[in-house]
Amino acid sequence: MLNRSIKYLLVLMIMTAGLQPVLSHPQKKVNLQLRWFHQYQFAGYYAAKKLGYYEEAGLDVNIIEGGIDTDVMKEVVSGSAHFGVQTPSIVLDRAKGEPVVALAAIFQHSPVALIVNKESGIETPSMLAGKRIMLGRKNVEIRAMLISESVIDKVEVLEFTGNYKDLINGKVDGASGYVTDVSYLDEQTGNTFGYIRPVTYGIDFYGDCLFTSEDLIHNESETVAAFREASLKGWRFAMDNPGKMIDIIISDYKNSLSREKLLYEYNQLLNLMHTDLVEIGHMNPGRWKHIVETFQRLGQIDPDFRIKGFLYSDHIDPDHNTIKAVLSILSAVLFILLAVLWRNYRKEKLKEALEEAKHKQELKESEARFRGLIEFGADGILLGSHEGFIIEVNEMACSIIGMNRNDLIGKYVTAIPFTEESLQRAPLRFDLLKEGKIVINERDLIRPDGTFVNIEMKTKMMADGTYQSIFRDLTEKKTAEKEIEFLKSRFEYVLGATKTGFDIIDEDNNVIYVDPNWAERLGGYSGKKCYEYFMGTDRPCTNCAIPEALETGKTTISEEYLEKESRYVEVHTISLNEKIRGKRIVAEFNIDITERKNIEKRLRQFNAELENMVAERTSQLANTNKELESFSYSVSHDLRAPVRHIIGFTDIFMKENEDMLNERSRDTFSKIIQSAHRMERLIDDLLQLSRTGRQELIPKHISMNKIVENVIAEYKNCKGSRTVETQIGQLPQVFADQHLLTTVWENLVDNACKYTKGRTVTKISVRCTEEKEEYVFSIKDNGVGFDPEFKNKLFGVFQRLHLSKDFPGTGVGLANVRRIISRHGGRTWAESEGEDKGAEFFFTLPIYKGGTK
Amino acid sequence: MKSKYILLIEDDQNDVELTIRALKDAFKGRVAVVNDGADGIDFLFRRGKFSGRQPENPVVVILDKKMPKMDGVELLSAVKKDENLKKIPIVMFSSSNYEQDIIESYEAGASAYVVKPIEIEHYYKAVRQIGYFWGVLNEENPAVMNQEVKEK
Repeated sequence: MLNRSIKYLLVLMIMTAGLQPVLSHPQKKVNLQLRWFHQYQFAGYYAAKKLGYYEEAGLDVNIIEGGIDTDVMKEVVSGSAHFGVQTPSIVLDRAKGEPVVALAAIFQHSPVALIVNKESGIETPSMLAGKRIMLGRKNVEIRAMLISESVIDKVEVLEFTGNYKDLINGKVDGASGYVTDVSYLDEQTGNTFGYIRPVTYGIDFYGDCLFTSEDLIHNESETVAAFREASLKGWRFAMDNPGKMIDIIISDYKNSLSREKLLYEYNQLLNLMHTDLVEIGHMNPGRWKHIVETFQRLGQIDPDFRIKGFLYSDHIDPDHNTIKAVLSILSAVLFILLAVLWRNYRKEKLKEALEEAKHKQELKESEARFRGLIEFGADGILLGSHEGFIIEVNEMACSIIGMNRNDLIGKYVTAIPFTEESLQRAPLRFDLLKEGKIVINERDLIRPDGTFVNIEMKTKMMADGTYQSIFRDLTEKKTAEKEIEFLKSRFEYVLGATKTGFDIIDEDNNVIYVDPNWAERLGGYSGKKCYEYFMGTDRPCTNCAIPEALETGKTTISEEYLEKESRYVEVHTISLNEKIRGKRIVAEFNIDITERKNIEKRLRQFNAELENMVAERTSQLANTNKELESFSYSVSHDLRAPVRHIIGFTDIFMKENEDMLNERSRDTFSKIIQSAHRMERLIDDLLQLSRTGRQELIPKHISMNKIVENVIAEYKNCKGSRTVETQIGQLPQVFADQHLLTTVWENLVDNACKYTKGRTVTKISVRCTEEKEEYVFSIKDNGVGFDPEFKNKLFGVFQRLHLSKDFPGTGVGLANVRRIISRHGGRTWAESEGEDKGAEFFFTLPIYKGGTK
Repeated sequence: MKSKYILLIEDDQNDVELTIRALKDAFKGRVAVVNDGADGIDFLFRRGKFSGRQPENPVVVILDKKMPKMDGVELLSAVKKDENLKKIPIVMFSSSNYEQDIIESYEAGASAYVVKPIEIEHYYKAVRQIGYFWGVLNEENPAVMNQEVKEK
């Protein structure tokens, strides 16, 4: 019964609503006056006509094209046209008393602009001062802008020709127009036009508006309403279907217009209409108020003007309203009745519902508890339907899988991004699950963000046929395992490469671990004692380093010989902190030192050999020296004898034949004897030279003064009876061979004497100066000296700078001196300022620093 | 008076000649010459080819240190071992002024050591001095003399 009542009431409602259209008037002839030539600017009206919206509304509309001189307002007010399209200038007319009413604002913004020639350089209104412009009579925005910018008095306003070429030829500097129109022209002619928009200067009015006269509203309100509605419908079509609209315009209205131009215009209008934000035709009373205020500010409208009655909304038909009101009340009453009936029905149902709800609540609570467990579990939990679709996933599962609940719930289980490889390796085993088995598998998955996860999945089929899976993230464990494995193999590789054995032994000598390389060489080790395993003995080594290492906690280093492998190792035993099976442990690094040991052995052998060689050499040397000694000894003796004989017999001959010999013969024999003498001296000197070279140097602390004094004493008379003045300075103690040093001074003094032979007074002075590390001795004479250019040659063997007939000598003396001094570690040199300017001979001896030399 | 004589043991013939010439001025006696150590020994010990030599021993022996067959020092040592012969003064004549040689000679029992001078004059002088000293000035060892008488 209740349902039937409802049905009846509904039908009634529909019928009353359907009555409304019946109240409209029959087909009526209507004129619409456009304000300009046919173009997209009026598309909506074309559409409404073409698509039959007007016809549906019972209107027969005639669309009248406008032109340059069209006064749309006049047409409408006079009654020639019922409706007109015009700018907000209509509000000015209204203010003047014209009975016009705005029905709809088609363009929310005005496309009006003052077009200028770019070449003129005019960019702002103020730059129009002194210029000429043409304005259409209804371009109120531009006028408003000029007033606002205080330039209206400075501009010459000409009649609007509509010919934009006047801008190019300079007839005018500016012309009013729509951006929609002219920017197209602009692009066609290559941008010669610029424009100044009133919007830029605060003048933002509506664009084209649809309006009518007050009379028509009062007399034919339905017509107005119908026309308005159909027009707006037409506009909606026009803005949604530009393509079709363009077709209509070209075919029916102006086939001289290009599609391009119309499309361009359409796009420009789209911007002005904001069809996505504002309903086409919407008029905001507030906006109109603003427009009025702007005009009032500019002095174009009286301050007393009231806008009421200008807008369509002020005029909605009261009769129409009454009918509408009655219908509304009827509808309302019907609704109330319905409501009451419904309420009673509901009351019965509520009782039943409450019971059920209570029951449901209890269920919900227990579910919540379990849900809590699942939601916050540490493992991922996934519930799947029998068919394999995911019913439920907990937070952890989502986190592991890396996907949202929404992306998983309801999807087949393969939505989970397992890797191909892991699915091949461990496919989903529904078969096993159906048998009631618990299936555990390890799989990899790659999350949507690209990260890799390794998981363990444990799945079971529940009694109700659903599946339950528990996910566990093993990635970290896996990574750690891999790392350990890597480190371990690295470690073992290094050990192998360096032939270092690594082992771990506990305090009871049990081998815990041996590195694989070594183990391989030795054979298996488990359970063995270290001495058994490494040494092959049956008891611990006597010098076992393990106790010490454990005691001291320090790394113990020892050497071992590994019997089993016949090699030497250096063992580093390190006590570890851990315990294994309760026993303390050590780690050992066994570094192979076989090579080292071999080298050491070889080195020792080599040293021994070397020493032998040295000893042998030394004795050889000693022998050689001895041989040399006896050789030179023999030689000198054997050389001496014949020399002596030559001298002897020559002398005898000379004596025995004294009277027979003439001057020349005597001379000849003299020469023979002299030469022999010379040879004798040479032999002596050579003998001495060789001796001083080989003789063992026995250094002692000796007084240089003493030696020099002795030598000089020996030479006191210095060959002949001339006066000899000697000056001996303070000479230090030296550490040198006495005998050899004596020889040095003998030679030097001998020279000094020799080369001062011609002097009446021979002056010899001996000095010593102390340098940093050495003593410098010198002996100076006032003899014949020598050419300093040859000072480096003096000390050579057999080297002489003077003729032997003038100064006899073998040239060995100074060589001897040099030999002896250099053996003492000193240097020798001589200086002279030149021939006849004396000479000074120097030698150095290192200052004895103590210890053994 | 027995005729004094000097024994010269010298291997170099020239040196012999020179020495004899030199001695001539200083020593009027004879100079017996042998040319090597072996002969020297034989002469002194009156054996071998010299077994028939005169019983008197020389007043001085001038001995060259360096000789073939037997070194001067060797002879010296050998002679000094003999009771009779050890009393005979022996002068070592040598080219060497090597200290070691001098020591060695004295230790072996040389009465004097003369380095053969370089200058021939000095050589002569040295030889003359030796001849004069030992041959003229020096008083012989009476024991030796007596012995010789005994033997006769």
